[in-house]
Amino acid sequence: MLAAKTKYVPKQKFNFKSRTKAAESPTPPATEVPTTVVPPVAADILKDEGVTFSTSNAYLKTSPDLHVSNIKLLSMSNSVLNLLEPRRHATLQVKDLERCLILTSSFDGSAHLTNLRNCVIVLKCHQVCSSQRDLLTRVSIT
Amino acid sequence: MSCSSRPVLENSSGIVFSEYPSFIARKVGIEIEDGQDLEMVEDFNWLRKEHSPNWRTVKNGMDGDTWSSLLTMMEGTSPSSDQMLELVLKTSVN
Repeated sequence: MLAAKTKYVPKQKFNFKSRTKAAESPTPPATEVPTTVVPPVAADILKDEGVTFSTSNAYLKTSPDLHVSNIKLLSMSNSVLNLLEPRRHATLQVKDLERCLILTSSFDGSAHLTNLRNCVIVLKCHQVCSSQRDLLTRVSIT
Repeated sequence: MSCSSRPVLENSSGIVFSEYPSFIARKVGIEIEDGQDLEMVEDFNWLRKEHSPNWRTVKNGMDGDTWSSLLTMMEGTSPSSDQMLELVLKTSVN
């Protein structure tokens, strides 16, 4: 009996093998992907604390070599900020600016503009949020 | 400005929106979507149906010549922030 069973088993195995292979084949790559795609580049971006400008009466410019970055512009007056290079940035935070001109290229994320007076901003981004401490502002967002 | 979601204003007034200048977009090499509706602004301090008095749109902000002059100043040997501000603020913030 046993001998007879083993004789039949290979045939069945052969049939099931083809089915199980097809069914199993998609799963191994799915389990491998997370382990192989641990992104060192993404980690660098997360570590990036960004660039902060805070100088009044100046012409300030970002370097073309700057990686995708979070940019902060804080407490400035009478300054011109040229953020046209590189073509992509991450986020923008602008706070307490008076009589400034800001030229930017493109932000993948949001731009938060807080307490600006008499400023002109050239901006491309995913989301804009503007808030002021008072209502006596003149801001042109181009 | 070019924004892919609705801009949000809170406690703000005197805000003027216009389209991202095509002159600068070409110069920098970024794409700007055509026909963006700048009227889709959300003003959290204005719940009435009438247009909020806190912001407005301008169809043609500054012309290409002004932006061109500005970028020329920026590329110069000693760019003066005062001159650049004078050029832009007198033509745009009104």
